[in-house]
Amino acid sequence: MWAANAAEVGAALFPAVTFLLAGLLATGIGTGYGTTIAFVTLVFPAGLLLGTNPILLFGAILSGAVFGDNLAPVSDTTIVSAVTQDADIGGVVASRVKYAVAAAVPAFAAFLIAGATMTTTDPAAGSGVTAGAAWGLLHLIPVAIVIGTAIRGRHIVEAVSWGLFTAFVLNVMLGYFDLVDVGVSDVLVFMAPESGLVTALDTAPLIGAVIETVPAGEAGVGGSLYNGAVGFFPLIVLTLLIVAGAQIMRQGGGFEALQRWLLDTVATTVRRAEVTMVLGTAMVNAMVTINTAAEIAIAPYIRTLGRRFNINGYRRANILDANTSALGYIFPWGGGVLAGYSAMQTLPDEYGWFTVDMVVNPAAVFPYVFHGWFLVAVFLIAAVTGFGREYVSDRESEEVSRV
Amino acid sequence: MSRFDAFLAGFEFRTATPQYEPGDELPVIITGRDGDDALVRIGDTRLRLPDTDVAVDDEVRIRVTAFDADDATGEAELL
Repeated sequence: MWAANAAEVGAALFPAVTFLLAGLLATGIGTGYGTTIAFVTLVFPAGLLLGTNPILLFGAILSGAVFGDNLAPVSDTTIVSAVTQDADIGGVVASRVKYAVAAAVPAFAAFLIAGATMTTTDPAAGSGVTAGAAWGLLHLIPVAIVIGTAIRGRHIVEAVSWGLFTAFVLNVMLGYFDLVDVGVSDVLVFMAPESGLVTALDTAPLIGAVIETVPAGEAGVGGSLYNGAVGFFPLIVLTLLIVAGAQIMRQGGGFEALQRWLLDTVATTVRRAEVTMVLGTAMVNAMVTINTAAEIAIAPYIRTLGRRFNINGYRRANILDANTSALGYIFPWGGGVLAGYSAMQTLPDEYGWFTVDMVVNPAAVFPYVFHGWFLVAVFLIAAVTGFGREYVSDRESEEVSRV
Repeated sequence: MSRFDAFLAGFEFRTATPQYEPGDELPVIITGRDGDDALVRIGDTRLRLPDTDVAVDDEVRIRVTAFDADDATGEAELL
């Protein structure tokens, strides 16, 4: 809010600027879901206060997430696309900039035009919020630390850990000075039924900050650190099941049969093969909620189809990742859309002026995820025209560097 | 390849039928077999490696020995 006011970004420009900033953040931190949640929680309310159309603004946030998920070297989809197609991550990212920019330029223009023409809401009057505080930008420090550490070549787990540590210290300090409503127990808390030991620990210095006494039925662990990790368990289990299912299909001959049918009847020329790769990836991602899992499921088909036409690893990885990134944030059941929607549902509790009516229906946003649609379109055009196509004989992908 | 070149690589409309000349040496993936011959398909260009004992999906280097540009077909040998 403070930055928007300082830059005098109006309601009409706000979606386009949000797309750029969300794209930058997502490219830096590598998680489109995280970017969506952060922007829905922090930037979305600010946009509504300025009077921006909420559906368009949500579409801009999701578009930024698509951009970053597609391009970020530390994005899970980027890593899966490179590793499954035997290509190095640096080369994959460099080779996909041309497609990302070709989609982002018209998407940015579309947000400018839609921002200027679509009806805006009345700026949330009587909210009592007229300006944010400059210290809100301090929240960018942990993000900068993650990006900086990752760029210096540290392992991604280490980079994210430093970001988490900094965010923890920063938020607890801001909470201590009453600038935000965050305490240590919001980050991590052990809730135990009352007993002599628990009461002693609860009142102890330091350790007492993460211990709470609760009625017996409510015992458990909580806090954002714990909830964030728990949130990933469904993805882990789903990925394991998909990998197991794919392996069973491979051993049983189903994979081979489907591949043979595709090669004999559908993918008979290189153009048709690439169009099949684009549409196949899009179709699987349209059906599976979590896009990384969908990507793992379709990756072996892309690999075999592409290799049958000597299409090199970079091109295969780009076709695979672009459509994975795009479709995961378009349809109402896509993981990215749902992550944003879930975050949005917490806003009425957070801000008194934010009414339930302001929450965007996930089914309404799909036409406005401009960057996602343009990215799919760019790849369909690229498959038909040969734009960006590279054969193994043109350039061999370098050895995979596993992060 | 420099870092900058990596961004520009592939920035073109690449043909579906890449052309080669006798003497060209290139890395390829074996894409099929026809009796004793190995087949290499690069886009819609087809190269035949007569009497070559390699398996489908093997990554090898070949030398083009004959090429018909009109047909986008040719012959090659294993290096």
